[in-house]
Amino acid sequence: MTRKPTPKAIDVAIALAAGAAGALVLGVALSALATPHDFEARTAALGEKASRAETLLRPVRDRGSFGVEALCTRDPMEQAKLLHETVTAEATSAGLALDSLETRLEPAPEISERVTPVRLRFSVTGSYEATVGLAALLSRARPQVFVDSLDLVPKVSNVTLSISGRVYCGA
Amino acid sequence: MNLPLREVEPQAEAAAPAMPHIFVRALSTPPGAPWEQARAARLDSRHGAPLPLAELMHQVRRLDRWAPGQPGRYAAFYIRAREFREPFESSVEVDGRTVRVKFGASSPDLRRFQGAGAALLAITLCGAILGTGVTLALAARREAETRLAAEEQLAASRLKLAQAHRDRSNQARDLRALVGHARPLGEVLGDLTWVATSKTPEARLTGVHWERGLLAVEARGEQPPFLAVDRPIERSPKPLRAGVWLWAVGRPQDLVEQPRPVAAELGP
Repeated sequence: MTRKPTPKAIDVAIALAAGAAGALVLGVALSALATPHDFEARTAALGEKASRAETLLRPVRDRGSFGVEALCTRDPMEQAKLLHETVTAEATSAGLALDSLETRLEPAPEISERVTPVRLRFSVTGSYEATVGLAALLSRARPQVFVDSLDLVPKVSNVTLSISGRVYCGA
Repeated sequence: MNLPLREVEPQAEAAAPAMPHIFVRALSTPPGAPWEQARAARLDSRHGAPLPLAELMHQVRRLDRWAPGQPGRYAAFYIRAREFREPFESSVEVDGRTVRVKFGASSPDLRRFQGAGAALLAITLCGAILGTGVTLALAARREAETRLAAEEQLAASRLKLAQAHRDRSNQARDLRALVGHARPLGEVLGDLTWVATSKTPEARLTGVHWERGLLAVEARGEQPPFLAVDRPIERSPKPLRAGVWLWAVGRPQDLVEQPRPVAAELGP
């Protein structure tokens, strides 16, 4: 035997259903209000940027190519000045006689106009250990010094080391 | 002024069962301002109550109009609180006139009042919920906007840095072609170290020259100045100066890459 719902129970059920529907609509409306209107598009753009950055950060070194640290990041003029100061300071510190020192900018090569070579040419006289020590110090420095020519000539108890090379500054 | 208390049988309207008994006291106040007379009547109704006030419901009504210099005529109506079931109205005879007395609000009024109160409460509650929800949603939106803007700024910076890194990587990749035959100073020092460690004890070197990847050593005498066999060496056809010969030093890989001349005549 089934029991027929009373009119009051039906009213309560309708009220509950209406309340639930209202709460649902309110929730959806508040959710929409809480979200910036272009949220999806902006989030997608963020993802795209992150993906592009990741692609750009992948190493592109070919076999035998130099790392990015080989290039200088400073302004070429500033780098030339810094090289001048470094060689002067280290030669003096090592007790070497600085016979000559030249740093100057060279014109950008045709194959890479965004790279500026900075010429470094110097000659120092002193003990073998001190001169080679200065060269070793410069070899560890970054950006790298690329040598075009090097001459080591003994002079009585000393040696004279002459180096001509370049440092490359990227744009 | 206290007047005698009498019990009045209320004239029930319609069929109002078990209506409380109404006790009536006629009061008189001395001449004075209307509010002073009303206050005196209220005090009198309380002091002259037939039972403790906690057990009573009472009210005071003025019976005549106020006139300057005239005493005030009032009536105090009491019912037992325990007899009160629901609001009711009744007509009571006091000093020859009929007075309508109403204890509590009438049922329809009360229901209407309750309904209005409930509706007001519901509206207030709904408004509070909705207002709170909207406030929270707007705060969340502001926070999301702020966070999104910060993320966008960060992403733009990262992209710019990545682009700069890629540019520099490309430039570094092109550096091999740019430097040509030049070598990093470290590699050249490696050649110098080889010269220092590989020369024979008798060798008298008068100069070491490195240019564009080629290594040459000036040494006195015709004998090879090096003992090592890991690099090819070759003497110049003619001496540089009297008793001084130029020795070209090849690279270790030149020993494998045969046949290839290793000598490079440097100097004058």
